[in-house]
Amino acid sequence: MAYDKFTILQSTAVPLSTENVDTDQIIPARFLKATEREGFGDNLFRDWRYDSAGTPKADFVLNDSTYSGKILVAGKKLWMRIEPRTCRLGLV
Amino acid sequence: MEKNTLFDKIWDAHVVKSVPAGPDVFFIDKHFIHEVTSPVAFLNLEKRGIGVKYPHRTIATPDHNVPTVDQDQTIKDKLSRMQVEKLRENCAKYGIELHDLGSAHHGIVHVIGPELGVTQPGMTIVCGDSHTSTHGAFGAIAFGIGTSEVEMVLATQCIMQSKPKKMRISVEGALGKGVTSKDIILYIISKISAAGATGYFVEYAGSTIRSLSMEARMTICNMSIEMGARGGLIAPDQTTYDFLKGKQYAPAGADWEKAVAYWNTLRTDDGAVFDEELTFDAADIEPMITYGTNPGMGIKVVDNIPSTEGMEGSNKTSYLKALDYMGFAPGEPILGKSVDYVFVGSCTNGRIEDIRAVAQFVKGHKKADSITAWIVPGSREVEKQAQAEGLVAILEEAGFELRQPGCSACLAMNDDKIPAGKYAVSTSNRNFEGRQGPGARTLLASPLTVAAVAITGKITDPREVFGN
Repeated sequence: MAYDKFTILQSTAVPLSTENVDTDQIIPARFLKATEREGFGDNLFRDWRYDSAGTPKADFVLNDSTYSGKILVAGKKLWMRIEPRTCRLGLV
Repeated sequence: MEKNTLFDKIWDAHVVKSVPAGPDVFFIDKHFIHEVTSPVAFLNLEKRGIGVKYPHRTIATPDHNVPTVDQDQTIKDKLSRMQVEKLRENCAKYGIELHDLGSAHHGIVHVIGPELGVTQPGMTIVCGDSHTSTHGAFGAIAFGIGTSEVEMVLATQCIMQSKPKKMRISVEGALGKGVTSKDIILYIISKISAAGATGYFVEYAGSTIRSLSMEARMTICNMSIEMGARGGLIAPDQTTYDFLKGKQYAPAGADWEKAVAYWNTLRTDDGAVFDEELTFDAADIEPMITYGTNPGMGIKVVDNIPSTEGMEGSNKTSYLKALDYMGFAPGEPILGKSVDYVFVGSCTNGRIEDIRAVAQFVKGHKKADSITAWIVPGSREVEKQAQAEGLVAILEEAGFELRQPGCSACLAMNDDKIPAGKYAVSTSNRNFEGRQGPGARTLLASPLTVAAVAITGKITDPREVFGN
């Protein structure tokens, strides 16, 4: 689903209290092999969400059902400015 | 008369439409594309029934995903193969020049552009890749864009951009022996941090910058993004013209004279004002190495990893997290740490001068048994030249594995990955967690430092191994 145009986004927020969140955490390069727009969400913060066996890590905020929403509130230096790969996630 | 910076002159000449309180509509001279960030852009154009406006201003090469061995055979990884095939399909469909695997000018996009003479002073250049800033070394405004913007540029040859603020970073004086342009940029980023130039476009100036070759200038501009800058550029001069003359797409004959006359105007006027000015002394710069998980976490190779003194709160927590990932402790020396892999390559340091430097220094030595050493030329041209100069023979004699051109181990998108927990000293541009493979521990350094590490198997000051 391509991102629909919006003027106001109203949502609960998900807190990611980590600093220096860089582009390779947001989506590891090994998952940038798509030729379609879909499917990137599965690999968002992949190495922070899942261990090497693919089991969700209980202590990562996106795996905590207390939190849900469309707005991510992160610590200082979230590397989303102009990174091509994060633009594809519609996060910029 | 108004005094303008080089950046202003190029920017203002390319504004198609100024939107009040909005981004400028900005014309793009050259659009480089590769197999990762273009497929979805082309797919969307098709869905919207829009063609490519200026195919002749678009140049393509597959570089990120490609294997660096057996390039004459079908790519084994299915997803990589699909992306490369998509690029071929799209280039054929729209009449876009493609430098495919096996062709004479195939290579990493930011290596082949300058080689072909496509990159020229005064141009605006974009690509769906962070290190597009490399082309700024020629006095061009060059920056990375996202896939949505790739689509915009393909459709209109324009992009919407807000004009960034301007920073000038001057480096003055003579570089010490064994110190390279890679050390200059790692030093600058270590001083101003990985976010120190956020919101700015940087002009690099000063006698040290002037003394550098084009390839050395490309290394510096390449890593502009790693300090948060939108891009970085260096004013063109005779060094630039000498590099460009005779290149395939460089102007020739009367056009050359006209071009040089224009390029000579591409300078920052005396007295032009920057939003921020920084100056560094070349004498303070020594061989550098990163020890952490962003390119700003760098020290001189002879210094200790910083202690946590003076750090507090989230600053301290994230610092310790980075060190924990790397398996280092605050305050300890970095010299002498064991290394498992060395990688010479990437759009930062994968050119002929980098390979010459490594070959010159390892000649007559053998790599340490504990090290796997990869050399990946940035392009077919670089590979050919390295062969012709006898560098390949020297490197293979020393135990280095020479591979075929591609982005390779810079990022774990192709088969060249660093295993979890292993240490790699690399001439590339990013040391984020997992950059070279999940759990991989990356240390960034110059080709000379990497050569020294290959010989000793440990973090080493290149000036110690190679003397003068």
